[in-house]
Amino acid sequence: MPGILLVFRISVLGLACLGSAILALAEGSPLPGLLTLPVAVLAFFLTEQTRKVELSPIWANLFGLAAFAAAGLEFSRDSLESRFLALAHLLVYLSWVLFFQPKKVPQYWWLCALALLQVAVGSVLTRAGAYGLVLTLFLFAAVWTLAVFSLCQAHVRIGHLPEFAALAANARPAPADFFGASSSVLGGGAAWPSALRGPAVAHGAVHSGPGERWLGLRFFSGAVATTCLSLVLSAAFFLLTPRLWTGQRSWLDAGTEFGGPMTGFTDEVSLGDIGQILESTERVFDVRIVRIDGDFGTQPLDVLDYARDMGRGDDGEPLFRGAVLGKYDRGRWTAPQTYEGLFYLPRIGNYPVVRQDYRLRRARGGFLFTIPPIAGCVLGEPPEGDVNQLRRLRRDGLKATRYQPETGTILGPKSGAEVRYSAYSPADSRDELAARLLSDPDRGLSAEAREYYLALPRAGLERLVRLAQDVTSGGGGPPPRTGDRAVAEKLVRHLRDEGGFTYSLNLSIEDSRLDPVEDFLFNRKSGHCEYYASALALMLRAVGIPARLVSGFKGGARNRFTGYFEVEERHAHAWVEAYCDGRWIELDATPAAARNESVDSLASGMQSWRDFVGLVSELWDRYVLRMNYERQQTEFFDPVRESLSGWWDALRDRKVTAGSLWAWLRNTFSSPEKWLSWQAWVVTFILLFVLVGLTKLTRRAWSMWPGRHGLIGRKARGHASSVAFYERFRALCRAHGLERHAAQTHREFAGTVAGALGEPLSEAELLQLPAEVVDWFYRVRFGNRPLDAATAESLDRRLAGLEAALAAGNGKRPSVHGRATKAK
Amino acid sequence: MTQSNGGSAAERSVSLPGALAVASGCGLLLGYVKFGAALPVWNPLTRTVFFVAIVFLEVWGIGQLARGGGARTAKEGGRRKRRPRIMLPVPGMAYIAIMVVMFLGHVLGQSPLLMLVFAMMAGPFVLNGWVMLSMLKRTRVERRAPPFAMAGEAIAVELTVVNDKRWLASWSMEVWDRVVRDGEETRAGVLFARVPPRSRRSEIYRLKLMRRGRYTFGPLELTTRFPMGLVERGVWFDEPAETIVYPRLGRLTSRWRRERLRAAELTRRPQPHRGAFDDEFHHLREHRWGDNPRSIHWRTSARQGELMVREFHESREPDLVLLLDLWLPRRPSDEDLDRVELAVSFAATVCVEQLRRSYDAVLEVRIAGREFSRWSGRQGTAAVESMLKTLALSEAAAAADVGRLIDEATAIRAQAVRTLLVTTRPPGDDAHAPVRDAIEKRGGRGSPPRVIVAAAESLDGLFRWE
Repeated sequence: MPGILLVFRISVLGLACLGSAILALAEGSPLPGLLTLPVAVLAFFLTEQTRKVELSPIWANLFGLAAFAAAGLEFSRDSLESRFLALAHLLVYLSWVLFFQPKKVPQYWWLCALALLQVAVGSVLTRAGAYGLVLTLFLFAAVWTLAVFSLCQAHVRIGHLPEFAALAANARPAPADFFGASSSVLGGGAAWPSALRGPAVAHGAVHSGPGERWLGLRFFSGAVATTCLSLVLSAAFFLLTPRLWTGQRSWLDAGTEFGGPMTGFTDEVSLGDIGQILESTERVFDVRIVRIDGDFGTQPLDVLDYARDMGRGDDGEPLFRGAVLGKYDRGRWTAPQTYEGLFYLPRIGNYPVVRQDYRLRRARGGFLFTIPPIAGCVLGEPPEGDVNQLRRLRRDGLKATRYQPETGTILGPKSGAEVRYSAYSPADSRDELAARLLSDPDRGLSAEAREYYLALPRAGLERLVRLAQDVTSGGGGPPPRTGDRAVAEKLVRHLRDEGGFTYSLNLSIEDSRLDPVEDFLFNRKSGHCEYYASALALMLRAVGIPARLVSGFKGGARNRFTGYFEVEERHAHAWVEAYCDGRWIELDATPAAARNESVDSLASGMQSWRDFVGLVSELWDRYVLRMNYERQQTEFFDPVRESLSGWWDALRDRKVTAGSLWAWLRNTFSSPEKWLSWQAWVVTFILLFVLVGLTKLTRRAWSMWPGRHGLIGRKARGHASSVAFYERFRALCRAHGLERHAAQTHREFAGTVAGALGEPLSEAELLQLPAEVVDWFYRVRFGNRPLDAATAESLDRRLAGLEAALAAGNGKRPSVHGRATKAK
Repeated sequence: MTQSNGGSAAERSVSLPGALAVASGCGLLLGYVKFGAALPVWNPLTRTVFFVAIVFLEVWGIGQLARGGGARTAKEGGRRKRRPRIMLPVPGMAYIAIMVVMFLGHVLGQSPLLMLVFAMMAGPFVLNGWVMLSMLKRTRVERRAPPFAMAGEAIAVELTVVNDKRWLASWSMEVWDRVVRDGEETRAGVLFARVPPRSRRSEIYRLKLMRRGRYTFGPLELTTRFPMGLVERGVWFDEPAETIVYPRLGRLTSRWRRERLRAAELTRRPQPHRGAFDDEFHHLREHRWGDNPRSIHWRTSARQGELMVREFHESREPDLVLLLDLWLPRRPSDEDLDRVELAVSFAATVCVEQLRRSYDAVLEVRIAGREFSRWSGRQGTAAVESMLKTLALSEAAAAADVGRLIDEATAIRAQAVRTLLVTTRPPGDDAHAPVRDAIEKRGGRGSPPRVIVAAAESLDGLFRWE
């Protein structure tokens, strides 16, 4: 039996550890949450098992005060995040104090409650899908622990074993002397023993069947089943509880405060910043592209095909444009001025367009990644079916609030948990809209802008300039002033193919006195895309071609489960836009093969696993993080209401006939694609419900049918009137708690009745009546001898007498031999 | 065998849920008629659902009211009432409070994960209730308690849980029994680890009933907090039973036996002839005037040369008349109560001794207390039990009629040999005066009864506890 106690203690401590671990996971810091595990192990051996260390209430209070003080120190910091974390850490510290206290039932409840609170606090610190997974694990652990706890508490209440009785909050005296010698408490004299003065004393018991284990496989399976059913119910609660929010999205919404913009995607980027994220496989955004035919129809497009068509994915890797950086100084690129206000972007007009729907996991410095050219961009959920929005865009163009006019970049929120936006772009690279957007013939490049994109630092890049001129002039003299594109291509070829440069994520600097780009060009000759792009941009400027550095993403993979094109951080890339021949063209000097090899080597696991993770993430995102009342209405409430209304209307119109119903059923169940629809589930449920109801009704009717016992029953029915007196006798007995047991004969039953009701029977001089009734019953029932009128009347009269005697002497017990009487 | 006094018709009570349902239904209907009909929420569907709900409430409520207390009946073992109950212990309240906080946090902060935590708490909570309800369904409890017991001795009460369900086992079932006497209640519990479907499990609990009298059992309560311990759900079963607790028996000392023999000698009259009870031969003696000539032993007379007669002696125990005067002051102290119990126990011990040792002597017991009781009987186990039951149920009172005791004893004494009066009235106290008066008043008729005051000092040396 103490085995349960051991399992229980381990389970509670385990639950507390899991709660702290979840908090640590949500917080993103191992301390102090993960310290709970070693502390719990220590407490298990020192306090629970050996009881060598047990905090007295004074010490526990002192440690509790220390916990409050530690949390108070954290709380006194400025940031809201640290204040909130201080409260979270307080829960961890209090758990530690409880670990070392001698524990009874309330202390164990406290530990469970603290673990639960830590999980709850964790829920506001994260939005990661892993939290859902560990929450499921926690649910199982909680169900298991509470079930074991429930058993232990039952033992405590029964008080059968002293080990459990010690857990009681109000310890009762141990029932050890229950079976003690009576003489010791009675004493030897004649005085009335005080031990016999008190109330009755009871000693409970615990029943466990032979060979039955309390915590066996069956118990474990039960806990698993309970967890699974709980998950189903929880899912129903979560999905169907209306999202009726009264407040605004608060700081509790994780990611807003606790996640900043991603390295490499801010207004100022140091050379090498992108390299920090090139080794990460964290998802950055998902995208899907749909072609809009007219105002209504949408048709999904392959992202790769579209990018290739737009000239942004010639080598099979689509380019997603992000930050555009124009000013360079000693290894640092700076973005042009961002203007805030209202800007009217070019109108789409009536050109055919595609819509790029993006789900950016975390705001990246406000940059919205797209496949250019972009004619318009709208923040928010994809406007599925919102015809008006598209019409407005076609008519009025986009009103942007954050905009970089020089680069044509529209910006979103600088920080935030998740950004969704839809970008509109031409459907075909050959149509007029695309040409207009790409060439921008109306504006051209202003002198100011030209100067901006040709600017080079005053010093530090002399060797770079010379190299650029050498490369473009073929070894001597100034570069040609015409055929900018050809010049630019020469520089690209030099860096990519001829200059002896290699691709590497190694960022070691050989000569820190040099500009990082010159260090790359002349010392290291190896680097990643950012170095290649920086070198190219500066070399282009050195030969008089306006150029700017663009950072974004190149590549990605389509998730076959969700249909979205997923881009991870390892796909981050930098390239160059050069102004050649009156338009900005993209140039990429990074060796594609080497880069692709590096990117592929970072891919985590198999593609199918990544797709599955993507699917889970999609579901998590769609049904957990972004669940709102509108979605509930769209996906749950409206379909049900509409169906019910439809059925109701159909019933009212009396159009539903058996034939049409049958046809509908056949149609539903003969189409496998409809099996997983909610209508099929509802119909199945209703059918099963009706089936169960009919079964129960049939069984009830069958049990009430008098002739259900076949031949014997029919025979008995024939004698029903004849043995009514026996039924009356049985009813009388039943009313007094006497019923014939299945193993008893009727005659034995009569003997039992005579014994049990001896006194009232003898007082009424009816002691022989039960036996006589049974004799007559046998004659009538089995001897086929009906009662004559005189006997029937006699039995009837005597049964009435018995009834009166029982009513009068209700509660009396039969005397045995001696006769007791009472007199007033 | 446990005997039930189940004839008592279960009291019918008004079902609160039933009354609430009926009232709610009426309220909804009135509200609809008065205010609701003009609301814009009505369409044929909502109106139908609304009226179906009203009809359901009314039908269900009236059904509950008709049943009385909403109890269900189980046919097995007689008509027993079955009353469900539910209780929310402190951890359950805390759990709900945390759930509410989570929900409010979600509502105010729009945090989806707080909602997830809330749902993850609500799901198990609902399932917990459903599991408990299912486990208690079609489950019943039976009790087997001994009809008689001896005060202060442990007895075993068997509790059986019957699970009539087809599939679902009942886990961690606690059965709580109540033993009540004079408002004093003792609870005893038995924990059943698991009762498989379509099976029954039995277990006994031990019980020491300290005071003589009638202890009533029940109702039985079948409860469970499994699986999560957050809610306690139970079912009451009206399963009445009772156990009569006999007075505790002591041991009469050798001094008591000597005194009894001496007293017997005083009352015995050797007879010169065989008595009606085939008495034993006692001795031979010389003939005296008036002896029956038939008792002359001629052979010895011839040998002795004088007339010798045979004399016989009764060998049977004399009849005993035991008068028990259970007097108790109107405001009794613990000592007074102890004296009553001591008197009853001493009387019971004497009676048992008498019934065991004598063959056919008659024992007459008269008890004056709250009621005046008579018992008479002869040797035999059944007689012992009957006599003990009479003593067990006798109650002391301030109005105990000791005069009537003496009168009854006088009436019997023509046939009796010994008369013993055990009284709880302390000697030297005013309360003892009626005893003296009664004996003196009726003293002319036969020898006075031996008066024994039920007090430790009086009984010391005569009676000891075993």
